[in-house]
Amino acid sequence: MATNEIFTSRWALLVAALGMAVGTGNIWRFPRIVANNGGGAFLIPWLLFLFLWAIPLLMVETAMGRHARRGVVGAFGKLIGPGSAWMGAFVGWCTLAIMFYYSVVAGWCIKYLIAAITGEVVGVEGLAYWDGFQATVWEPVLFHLVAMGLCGYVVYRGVVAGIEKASKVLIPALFLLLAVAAARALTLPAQPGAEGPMAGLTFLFNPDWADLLDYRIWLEALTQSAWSTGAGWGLLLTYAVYSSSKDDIVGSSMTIGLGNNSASLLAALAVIPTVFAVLPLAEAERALTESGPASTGLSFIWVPRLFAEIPGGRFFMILFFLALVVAALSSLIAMIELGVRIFMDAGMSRHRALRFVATGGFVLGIPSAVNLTFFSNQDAVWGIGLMVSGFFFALAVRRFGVARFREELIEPADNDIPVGRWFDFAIKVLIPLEFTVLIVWWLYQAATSGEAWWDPFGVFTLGTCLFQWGVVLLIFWLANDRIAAQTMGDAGAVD
Amino acid sequence: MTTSTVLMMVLILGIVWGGFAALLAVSMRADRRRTGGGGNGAHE
Repeated sequence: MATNEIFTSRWALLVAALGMAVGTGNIWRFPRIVANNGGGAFLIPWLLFLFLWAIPLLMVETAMGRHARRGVVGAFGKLIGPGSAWMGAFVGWCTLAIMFYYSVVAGWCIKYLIAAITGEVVGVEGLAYWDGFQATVWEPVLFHLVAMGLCGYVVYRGVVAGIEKASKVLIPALFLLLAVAAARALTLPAQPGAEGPMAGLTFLFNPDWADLLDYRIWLEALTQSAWSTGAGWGLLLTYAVYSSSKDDIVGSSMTIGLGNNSASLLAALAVIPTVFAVLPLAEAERALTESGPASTGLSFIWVPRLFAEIPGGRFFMILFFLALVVAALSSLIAMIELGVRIFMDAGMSRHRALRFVATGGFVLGIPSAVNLTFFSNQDAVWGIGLMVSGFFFALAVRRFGVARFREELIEPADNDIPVGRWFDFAIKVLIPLEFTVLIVWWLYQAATSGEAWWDPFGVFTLGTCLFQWGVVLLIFWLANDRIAAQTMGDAGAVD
Repeated sequence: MTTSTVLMMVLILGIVWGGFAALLAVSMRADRRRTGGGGNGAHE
């Protein structure tokens, strides 16, 4: 057996998994995406794709992790043969490559939390403050180190004493923070010239049914679902390694997906009504839809100004950035654990694997900390790469046999909700179809981004995606036998 | 707010928050049942 660590209860696994799923994407990306895509009408495909993409993949990850009792590389090998370890390695690499710059983002959140507590960021001109922070160079690197250090320490402590203990505190606190912020946002008085928070509710929920005929709404909803829940990243697979063999798979996957979406809605209710309570209509819509540098517009550029203008604004700004920090750190913990698990499967002790992953993660994140263009490139390349990861999971299940996977790996668990044949349809038909549509759309956007589409060193070009994926895939495919031998043996480290 | 906005809000929040709360309650009940049975179940 590759590990003797196990979460102490199903609740422990759930809070850890919710920590994995709820991240900065829920708090800063979701409100902007909803605002940019028609509000109410967007929420329908967004909810639909939770069940048609995210939940089936979460079920697959849980079953695979539990079946293999190994991280993502060994899990692919165990399921469909050692010759396929390279697929797991690509999935793991995509998530780790995201970890490198996600730690930088977590650092930004910590910086702004501290700045909110000291008052340094209250009422400032958002873009000037952001530019000043980035221009120091050493500050983003320092806070990136702090984020990696904090989360690395949690992972160092192990599954129960570290991840479970931290999650049981962080995740309920996160939901409470978001709920308080949402309640406050909805009860704000309207500033002179502003429409008031109820206009924000209308903006968020009012359905313009004609929007449902716009294919871009559906693509953005699917993209948000794919990115936000963590489905297909290998993270839930990693946590499932430490779960009881009898724990429910279907209900837990639905809980994680609905929990993730619950957090997104709470964040939207905290942000959008505040914007409409403070800013006149035209400016409110601009604040919500502006992407800003590295897509940080709403959180880091507008929030400092917005919260300064509401009663008790500094307190609620602290709450907002604290929620952002908690969300970022809980997701970063899961990403570090994914890397640590892979190296533990290869024979390293937890502590040695952690030092390797955390040090490597810090060093390889420095370019993103000091150069936002590089950051944006990595965000694009590996963000789209995640769709390939999700497809690899569906492909692996198809090769194993979809009905066989359902019957042998999912149904024997104590499922609160029975798994139906819809699972087979989702894996065989829906996910490959959704993947095809998404990858064609995103690569088309990369190819028409304004840069030379073939440029392998462009920021957001087809060339840079294919070049970087190609290099990684080639390396893993060539090294497959060695990777498989290292991660599939029974000599994996125990703590 | 219009009627359609209110209905949409109730529908979305009902499905998402209501579903999440219901499933959490089921999970906690299952955990209490297992704890009452004396352990966290078999681990392979």
